[in-house]
Amino acid sequence: MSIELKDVTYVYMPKTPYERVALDKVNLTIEEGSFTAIAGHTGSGKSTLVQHLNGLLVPSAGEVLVDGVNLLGKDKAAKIKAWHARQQVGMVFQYAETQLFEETVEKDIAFGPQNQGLDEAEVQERVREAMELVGLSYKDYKDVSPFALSGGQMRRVAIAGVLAMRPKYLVLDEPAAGLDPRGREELMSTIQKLHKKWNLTIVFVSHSMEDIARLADNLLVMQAGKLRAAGTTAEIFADAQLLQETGLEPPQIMQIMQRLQKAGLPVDSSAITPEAGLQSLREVFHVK
Amino acid sequence: MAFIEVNNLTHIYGKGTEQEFCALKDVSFTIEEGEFVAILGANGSGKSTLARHLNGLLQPTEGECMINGLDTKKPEDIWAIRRQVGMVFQNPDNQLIAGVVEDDVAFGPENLGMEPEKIRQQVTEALRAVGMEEFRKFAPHLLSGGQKQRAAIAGALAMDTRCLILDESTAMLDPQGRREVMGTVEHLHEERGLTLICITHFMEEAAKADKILVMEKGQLVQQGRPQEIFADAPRLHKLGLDVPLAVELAWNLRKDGLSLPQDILRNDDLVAALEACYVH
Amino acid sequence: MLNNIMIGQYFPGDSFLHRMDARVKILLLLILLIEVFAFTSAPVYLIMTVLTFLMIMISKVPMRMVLRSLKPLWWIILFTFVLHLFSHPGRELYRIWQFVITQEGVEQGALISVRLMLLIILSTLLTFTTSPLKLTDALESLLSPFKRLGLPAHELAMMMTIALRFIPTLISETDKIMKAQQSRGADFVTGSIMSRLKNMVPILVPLFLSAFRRADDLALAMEARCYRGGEGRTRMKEMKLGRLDYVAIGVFALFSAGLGVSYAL
Repeated sequence: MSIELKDVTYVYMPKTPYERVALDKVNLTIEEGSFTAIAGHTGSGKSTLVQHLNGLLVPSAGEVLVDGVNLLGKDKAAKIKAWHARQQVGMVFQYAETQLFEETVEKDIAFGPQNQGLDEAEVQERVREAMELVGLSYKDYKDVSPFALSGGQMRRVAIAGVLAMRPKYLVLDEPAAGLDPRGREELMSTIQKLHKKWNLTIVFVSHSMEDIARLADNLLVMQAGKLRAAGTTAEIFADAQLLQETGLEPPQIMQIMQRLQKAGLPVDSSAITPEAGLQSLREVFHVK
Repeated sequence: MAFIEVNNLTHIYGKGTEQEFCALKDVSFTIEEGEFVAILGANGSGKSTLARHLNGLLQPTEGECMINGLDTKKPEDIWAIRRQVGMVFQNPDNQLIAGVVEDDVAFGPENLGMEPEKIRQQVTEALRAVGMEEFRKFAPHLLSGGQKQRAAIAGALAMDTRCLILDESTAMLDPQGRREVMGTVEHLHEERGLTLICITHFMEEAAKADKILVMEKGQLVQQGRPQEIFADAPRLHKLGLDVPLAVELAWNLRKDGLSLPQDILRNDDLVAALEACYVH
Repeated sequence: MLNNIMIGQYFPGDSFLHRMDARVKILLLLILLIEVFAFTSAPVYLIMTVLTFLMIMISKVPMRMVLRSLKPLWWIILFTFVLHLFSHPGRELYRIWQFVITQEGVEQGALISVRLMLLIILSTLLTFTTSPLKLTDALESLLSPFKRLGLPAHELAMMMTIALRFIPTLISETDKIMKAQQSRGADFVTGSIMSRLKNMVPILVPLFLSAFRRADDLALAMEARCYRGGEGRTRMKEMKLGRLDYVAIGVFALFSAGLGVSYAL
């Protein structure tokens, strides 16, 4: 099972003076169970790409398959199948807290499952489950107004609103943007938990190479509407030329390790997380 | 007399009401003209409330806030204060007023009642200082986040500001935008001696400051050089803050028994220290 | 999808009409519109039409764009024409059952239709050749004599400026919120009108909240930049009448006088 993009092209505002090819023949596969990050400059097509994954945008050419089902159903039966396939892909937008609108946290999170046509008991169960997943106690927060919460909490309510629909794939567009270090840290470990413990397939758009190095297994690099590179996170970060050409900065730790290596220290220059870097430094300096 | 003098500043929101909330408590510090100061603290620690006192958007409930000898409590001084202390806010979309960049930069000087000829000079000069001349005729919604923030900086410069407060101005930007904005203000700081007050969650930005103020629950809990502030990494973590990676690594290696100098702040420092350490 | 809406009708350019002072343009347009109403006659309308074509050519706005501005009102023009066909007594031309088309009806209908088209085209020519910002400034300046009567001219103009500035921002925001709610299974397309209205709540609430937040931020940013109302405020772009404007006024005065005299004769 997977999400597959086949030759997907998307033309923005076709036949107007503003016409622009936002995606250009993109082919890629996101395997179930994987953690895939998408990196690239602002305007490289990342957001346009992820909006294809649950059918919010319809490709101008090519097709999107979720678990083998084309998201663009032709006849009635295919349309119903496509609708179910789209439900498999949850989408968390940048600054997701801006989508909150209900009086209480519980009502807001219930919006998605209710739209799915579930009965009340099932909806409540989904809300409870989703809140626990993002680390908000159901008992304490269900009757609170979402607008009385802190920025980090609001964002987690918004994510819970998507999780309550029990998607198999979860797409997160810059989920930590604008949070303070503590909020960031909490959110990152929540996402890690969703992947490791609950086996959610994660697609993660980020500008932070640190976060990508820490969380993702695979990395897709977008440039000017094209999929420039795809591979494991370690592979991509090891390709200095690629990073330079796409304007991405390797993780800080990697920069430090590479400079040390250049200076003649036998350190592991492929370390992409601070933990791995520290471990290598300890070995080199024979401490601990 | 320092450029900014804050003495025993306390600010209570909604005093006397049920929602009474003490956002700042007995805060005192000084900032010299030409200094680069970073203010750190978790969300809700009172950083923004503090910043808004420095240009008289808020007045102290108790204590005083003096800007270049002017008291923010005096209504007749407030315009002179705001002219000298410019502010760039977090959301790039919510602070540009006009539909064209040059008109927006002119907004401040127009409010001050400058002569049209003088305004045109100020606008041209300010746009040049932030490297935005080519976007002069652009509509704000066609600019990138970094460009919008640079336009906002130009708006302050056009009023002849002497001090720039960045209230998390890079928080909503991508890495490129962040580099643009920080590059711009650092340049202005170095070239023109602009006083810089930077509220940020990015420790790499704070590490470049001359002085750091650390806020917690409305109180100023620590102030000093970045080396001093970052020396105690666990304490900062407890306050919900990060430290720069180089500091974090050095702290861990030191704890493991490696003897490294105390003042490691940037990657350069760490690499140099480890090199020296390895040779021995 | 909302990105497809184009804001304003401004067609950037550097023609005579573009460079004219916006206040002069508004005033001349007003007089021209009054003349269209006052001098209802075929020869005058013929001259007016020629003048309008001339101005379109001078403005360098493509004819296609000008005609497009008539499109939404096409039906009203047609309806007016048909109504007049039957409603004037006179020489019978054609009879359908008991409705009579008269010579006078055709003439009147044609005149009224041309009048409507002239009104629309002349007005859009103003918005085509004047940026919304200049238009706002001009309105503020023209309305400022009424300040003494309590008309908040500066505030109105400032409100318009801000509205114009934030329309694109709010459109992209609406687009984003709609997509977010669609991802949560919201449906804005099917169902009865009532249920569709109800389905708008998840968009409207976040949109209003965000608009208020933006207003709050903006007020603060304006205050930080020494804004204190229109009193004592200067403008970078002074509105000064140039040679161009005097030429336009002169030509226009001659034209109007000629029109008046020929109509009287």
